[in-house]
Amino acid sequence: MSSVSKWGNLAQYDWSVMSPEFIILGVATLLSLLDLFMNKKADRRILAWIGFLGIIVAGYFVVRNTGQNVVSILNDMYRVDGFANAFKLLFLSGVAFVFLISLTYIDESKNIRYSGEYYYLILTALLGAMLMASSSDLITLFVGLELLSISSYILVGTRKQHIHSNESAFKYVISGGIASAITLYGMSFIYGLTGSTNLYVIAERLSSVFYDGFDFLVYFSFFLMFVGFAFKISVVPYHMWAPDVYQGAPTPIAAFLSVVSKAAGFAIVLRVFLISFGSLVSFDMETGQQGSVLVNTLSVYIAIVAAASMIIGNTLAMRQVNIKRMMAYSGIAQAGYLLVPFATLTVLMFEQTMFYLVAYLFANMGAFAIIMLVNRDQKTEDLKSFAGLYHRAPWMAIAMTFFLLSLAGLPITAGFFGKFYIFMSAIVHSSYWLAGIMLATSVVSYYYYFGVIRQMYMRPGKTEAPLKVPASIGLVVLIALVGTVAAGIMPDPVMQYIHHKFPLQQMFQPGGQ
Amino acid sequence: MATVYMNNYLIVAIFLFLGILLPVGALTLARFLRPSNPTEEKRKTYESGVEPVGSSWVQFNVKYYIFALLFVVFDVETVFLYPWAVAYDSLGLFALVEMVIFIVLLVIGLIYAWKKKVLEWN
Amino acid sequence: MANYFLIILTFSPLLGVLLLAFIPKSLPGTVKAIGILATLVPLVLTFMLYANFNLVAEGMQLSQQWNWIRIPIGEQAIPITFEVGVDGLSMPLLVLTTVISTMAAVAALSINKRWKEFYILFLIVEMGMLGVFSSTNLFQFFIFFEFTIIPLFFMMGIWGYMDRERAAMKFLLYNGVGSAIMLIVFVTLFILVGTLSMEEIRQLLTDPMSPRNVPNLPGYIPDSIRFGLFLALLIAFAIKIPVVPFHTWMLKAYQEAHPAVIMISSGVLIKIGGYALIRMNAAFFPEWMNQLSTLIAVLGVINILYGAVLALVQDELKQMLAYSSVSHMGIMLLGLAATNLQGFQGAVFQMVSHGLIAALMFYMVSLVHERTGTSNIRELGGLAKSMPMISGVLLTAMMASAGLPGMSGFISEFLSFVGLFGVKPVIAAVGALGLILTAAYLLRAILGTTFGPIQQKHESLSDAQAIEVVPMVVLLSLVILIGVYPAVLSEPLQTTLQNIVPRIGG
Repeated sequence: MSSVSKWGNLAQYDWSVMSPEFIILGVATLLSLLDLFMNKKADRRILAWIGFLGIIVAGYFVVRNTGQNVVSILNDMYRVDGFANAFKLLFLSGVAFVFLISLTYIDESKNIRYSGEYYYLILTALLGAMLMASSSDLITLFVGLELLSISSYILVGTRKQHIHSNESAFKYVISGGIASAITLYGMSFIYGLTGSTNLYVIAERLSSVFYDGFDFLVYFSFFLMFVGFAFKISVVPYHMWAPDVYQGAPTPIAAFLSVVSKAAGFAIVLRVFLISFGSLVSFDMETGQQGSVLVNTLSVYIAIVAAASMIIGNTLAMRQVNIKRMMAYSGIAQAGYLLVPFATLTVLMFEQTMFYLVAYLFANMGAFAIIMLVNRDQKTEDLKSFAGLYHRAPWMAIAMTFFLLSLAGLPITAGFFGKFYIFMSAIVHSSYWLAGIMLATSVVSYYYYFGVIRQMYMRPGKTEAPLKVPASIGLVVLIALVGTVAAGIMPDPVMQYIHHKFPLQQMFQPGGQ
Repeated sequence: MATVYMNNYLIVAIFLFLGILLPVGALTLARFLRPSNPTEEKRKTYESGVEPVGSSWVQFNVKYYIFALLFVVFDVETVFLYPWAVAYDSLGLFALVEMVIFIVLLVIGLIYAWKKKVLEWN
Repeated sequence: MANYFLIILTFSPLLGVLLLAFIPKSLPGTVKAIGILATLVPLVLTFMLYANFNLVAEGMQLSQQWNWIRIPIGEQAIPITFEVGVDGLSMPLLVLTTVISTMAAVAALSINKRWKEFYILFLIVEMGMLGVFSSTNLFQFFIFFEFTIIPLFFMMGIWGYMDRERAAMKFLLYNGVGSAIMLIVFVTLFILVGTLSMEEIRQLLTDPMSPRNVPNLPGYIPDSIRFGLFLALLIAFAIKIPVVPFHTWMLKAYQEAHPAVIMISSGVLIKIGGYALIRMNAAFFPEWMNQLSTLIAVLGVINILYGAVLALVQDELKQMLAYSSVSHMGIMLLGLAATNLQGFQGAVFQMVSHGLIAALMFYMVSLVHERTGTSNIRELGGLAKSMPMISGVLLTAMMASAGLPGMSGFISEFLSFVGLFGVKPVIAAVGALGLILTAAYLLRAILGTTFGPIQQKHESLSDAQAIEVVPMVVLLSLVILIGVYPAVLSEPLQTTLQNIVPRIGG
């Protein structure tokens, strides 16, 4: 083992499992250098294509990692398991969509002056998200979270000349900073109580701490961390930034925030709480009964948060006239639905969440692509810009109809099955009130989703001129439409793929080293 | 266990208490000891005698901040380099490679700042 | 072939959708022709179904099932199947669906824009209706049910009168609430019983040996839960039927939507409510059907009287027809509340008969409206002079609706009331008052439109054209056929209902 002594202990780790991250990092660095040395006037779209290629290659390596055993390096600071791979594929496909949408967005609108930065900041944000999916150490998780957050703060403000963009970037930074502070405050309690940042070690020690009279602090840190994470997934009580930020952000970035950033938030929520709090058991002195704290006590609060998000998101969305604000409120409600599996914790929790996220990815990316196209053409983000879309671009209108149906959870779309699976978990858990709120708010959401459909089909538009659809937008819409409908008719292959390729049990196997 | 944990907070409380007490106590004590004889000159901003001119709300050139930020970045870099250098023998060549990557990334940051004309004052 | 018959039938309207997709918009004549011809395919198929129907066989015929979705739980997977089947209850409704659809497709000739979209949506709704009646699985039932709602939203919102968008929205939200409640019940049943197949659920819930019915066994479903499920289903279908006070969406829809849309909505769609009450409420929870029969009867009487009284004061013919539908659906509820064979037969007869008559009446009113530009009784009158054919058929349809012997309305009302008089004579007697009111409002309407002095501007109006006569003749002859020879309907019904009714044990 002379090589060990020469290269050091660090070289023993299997670094190849990190290749997706390395590729994204490398491509982001390459893009920044290329951008610096390219002619100022040169077309920056080549950068987007290089980045897109990098995403595809990284995706290939993630696929190669799927179905393998757990690999953990650096004392579980980085690990590859089913959970991580599933989320990484989701992020990569989401960012691939965002790149395709951005190609058209940046091409036409001259208001983003630093398109080179725009592309590689998306990649660094993606890198942060991937780290968040793939770590089980509080420090690495937080570094990933901040990498994602800081990149997105800048991305939101890339329209430098645009007053709304400045406002939203500023709001995003301030509220994001507060959220990070709250998260860290919660994490500091956990570290103080258990003396470790490794989630598995925390899990081992948390129970004894819990019985030593610190149950209050354990709950307190849980709620602090949850509130901090609530910012990323934009649920009550930390949802109010979303409408302002979506409105001011460039549309592709709004799509990024609503899908990739949100999914990353769910990754960290599930990872942290399932591992570190999952095995925490409370002991009732009077009855002598044991019960999981997460299942018995905390899940009620999560369910309340989920219900409040559904109610607030869906009712406020009805009053919006700006389509991006409406999508922001819709996103708050969708995050509420997505919390239901976590609040009910049935055996299918992970599959349900992933399926819903996949459905949401297709529907939201498709919808934002069309929103971008229509808003750019009409020079307004008003709901009315959709008037008469059916006569101008019938296929876009039909596709948008399917995306909206999917978001509303109506058959035959992926969104319906996503809601159906989640709904089932609420009933299995006997949370009838939650199931009831879920369906009631879904019906409320018909009002505003069909409001867009009304504009597209039933109102005359300002112009009847056919809407020109650029190839990259057409591609996004086509893939999203095929995905939405295919998973809406045959949800089974998707569900089985998630179930077999991304086993959740892997998440609970400590790396050991 | 619980008491040990709480004892830690006791130390924090003591420090907090001391931190507030010291300046307050020192100033109060000084108030009793010193003679009070204010004159017009003593109330000036700069007791050295320099006359303040204009408003104190002046805008600093934004370059100051960028310079300061750049300085902090490279300053913090050394914080990582020192422990690595001390433990170099036990870390091995791999850590050298890592440190090279780290420095290269910083250099890219420098190139970025240079190309964006941050290093020029005008 | 026989194995796939119901699948082919259900999806046969899609053939038309496919053809229409390739026809350019600029050829409205071709689009209309294909739209109507496409409805003939399922029509012919349902007639074949009727002709080959086994009258004595118990249970589902032509049934077929495929695994569709597996819910993975550990190593096992619970399947949700895609299954079809037809029995004496669903077969007549399938025939009704295709007949009304073809007639409505003909009535839709009068729309004035976007024919291609209309017929595509129309055929999708027809597929949805066929799917609802041929499903023997709750999940699939739900999905096809949604298939009828969403295209109908578009049809109401795009083609219709002034306030059509609000009508469409109201329709969507009411039916959305109904289907949401339905989904809660279905999923709860799935969790409790472990299957979504209607037949398996029925057996597990009603078989005395099933662990679901033995107290103290794991999996036992207590009465309180059954009661909750029954009530939730009742509310879900009450919105569809519609039962007062959930009827307001229908008033708006009748007023604003295109006649062809109302023909399928009132002719077929609202019958899904009654069908499901028998298929689910009565079959899954017979004991509660029995215990709550008084509630259903009271709801029925309220529907009859409320609808009839308000129909009496409407000047707008379309609103009168809407309230008349509410009233007639009350009679169907009375039949169901009887919980005996006559009552159930009456209820099914009422579904079919009201489907035919309501479609016919609305079609006639729409013809009048097209020609005169109004459907207000005060602005009409003496139309028998300028359009004797339309007036005559309208008169006949209204007589059928009032329950004139020899027509289908008589048989269904007679059976429903006979059924109910045997068990709840007082309620039946109160309900029978409605029949008098029915005759009164129908007479008032017919007198106001066809008799009396004619307005000058209406004198030169033309009578029905050849193509417009087709729906009149077809619908009217079916109404009379059932009235004269009720066995066409009662024979296939007999075996199926004999299977369901004794379990209720009225």
